Amino acid sequence: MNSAGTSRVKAVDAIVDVTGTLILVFLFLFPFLWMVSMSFKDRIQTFQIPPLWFFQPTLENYRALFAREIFGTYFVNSVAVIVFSVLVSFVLAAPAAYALSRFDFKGKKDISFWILSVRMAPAIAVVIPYFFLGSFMGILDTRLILIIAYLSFNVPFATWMLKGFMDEIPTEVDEAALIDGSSRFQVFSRLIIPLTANGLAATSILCLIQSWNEFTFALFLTTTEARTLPTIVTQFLTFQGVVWGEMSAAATITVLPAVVFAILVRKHLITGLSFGAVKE
Amino acid sequence: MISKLSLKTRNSLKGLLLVSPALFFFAVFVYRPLIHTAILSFHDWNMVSPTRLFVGWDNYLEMLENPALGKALQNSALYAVWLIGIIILLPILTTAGMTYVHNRVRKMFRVTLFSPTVVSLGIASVMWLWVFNPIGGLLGTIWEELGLAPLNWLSSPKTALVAIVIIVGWKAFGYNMLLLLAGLGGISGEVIDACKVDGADGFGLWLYVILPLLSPTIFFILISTLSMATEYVFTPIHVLTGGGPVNASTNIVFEIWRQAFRWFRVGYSSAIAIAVFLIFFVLMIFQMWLSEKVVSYDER
Repeated sequence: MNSAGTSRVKAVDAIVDVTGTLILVFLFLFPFLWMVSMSFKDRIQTFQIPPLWFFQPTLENYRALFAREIFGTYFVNSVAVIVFSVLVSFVLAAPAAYALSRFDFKGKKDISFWILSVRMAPAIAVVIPYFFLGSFMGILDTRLILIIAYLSFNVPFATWMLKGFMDEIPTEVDEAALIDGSSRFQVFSRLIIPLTANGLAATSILCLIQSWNEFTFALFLTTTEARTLPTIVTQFLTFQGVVWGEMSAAATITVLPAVVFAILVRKHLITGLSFGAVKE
Repeated sequence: MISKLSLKTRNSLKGLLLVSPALFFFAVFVYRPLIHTAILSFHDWNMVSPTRLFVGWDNYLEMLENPALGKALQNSALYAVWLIGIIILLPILTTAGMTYVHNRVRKMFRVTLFSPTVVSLGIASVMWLWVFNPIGGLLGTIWEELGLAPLNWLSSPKTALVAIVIIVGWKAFGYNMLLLLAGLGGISGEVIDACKVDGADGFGLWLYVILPLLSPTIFFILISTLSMATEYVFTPIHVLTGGGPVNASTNIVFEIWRQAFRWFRVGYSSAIAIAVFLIFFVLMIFQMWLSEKVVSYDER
């Protein structure tokens, strides 16, 4: 009797759980679903009322998007800017992280604080001087100015992440190798870097996601030549109206790599996105 | 020469040597531009003229008097209040609720609620444009079905700000919730069990035990939410409303952009940028100080 009552309560609970879950999931995923479905619709289907859920998909929007010259240009720009900025940020961040993790020196606390504070400066507060820096050096609307701008958030981020990963390796590892006659550089390059390989991979992918999604710098520091993919959607907000189909196709293609990357680093996402404030 | 120095000095020199490339980069490409902004904030300059006029504190004084900036400040506060409700209080409630659901359901929640976080803000803005679109848009259609007067969310002064809040809230909700869940996972089960033995029930347990223990996480998301309320909202404002209608959705960061790139008042814009930077700098120091305090309290 009692157990039957409990199981009924459990069943009701389960139903509430499932319906609640489905509603929440639907609410959150709806914009995604709609964007993807709209990217496969033609003009008439887009504005059908009530909205169409099942329809004959068309690839016309994607065809039109790929035919645009800017799509290729923006895509190549995005990839080039991200690859260079992530590579350079590791060259700067890995030694700094090693120093902060292993060495004791005067002002170490202050230096860590200043590196973190860089990250906290609102992008818009530095975008204006970057604009002048770019025009002064004649590199406005080039990939170079974007690489520099993206370094400004990738370097502090990578330094903090890598320091966290290096802190997890016991210092005895370094000391044993040093006693065996290795130099500091050998310890760093042959021991620490391979031992933090997972951390390096996770950090670089988190940097990739942030740089891939970046919008403000790309919008202000470039005009035509060095524009990146996320800004392409603004091309479809015209005075004549919104080009829904193509815009949705462009948005879908831009979101896809970020989602794939996020799935790859799901274990490190929380530590990464909270800048090490929360460890899981 | 170097070998004559003590081991300690040599080690600290090596450490400094290793951080110096990163510090050099920051000096040239972050601090120097920031100082440049600070210098510009004391000048009157239209971006093209060869001469800049030194005006002292005039730009800062104007900030206190300009009514458009007052509106932007007021809106920034409104954005903050809305977002604290939507992406701090609501996620705390959801997190509390989630401890009661099945493990598998919880996993699905996490993935779903987190997914908007990896979408670029620019893309998120246009994703929601269709929802708010008056012709054939989702909300517009529902509105009409309900027999209400047509409402253009993005171009009505009453709703434009709320529409922006919804977009940013959708994107950041899962991020905050995931941080809260991680913080919750960090609280030892023994503490919770001990409190339950002592008779703490659901609500009391949350109010007096779990929330205080979660406070470092809550402080962290509070600061990041405040920065979202000023900075994140910029992209949807820029892409969708242009600060309008009649400044209804503008905020302080949008004002920085508008003064510099629309009205070419570089000095004034720089002054606002410096003010915003200083506010966040103080907030960040406060957060670090607070989290250090709370951590030591936690360990005691």
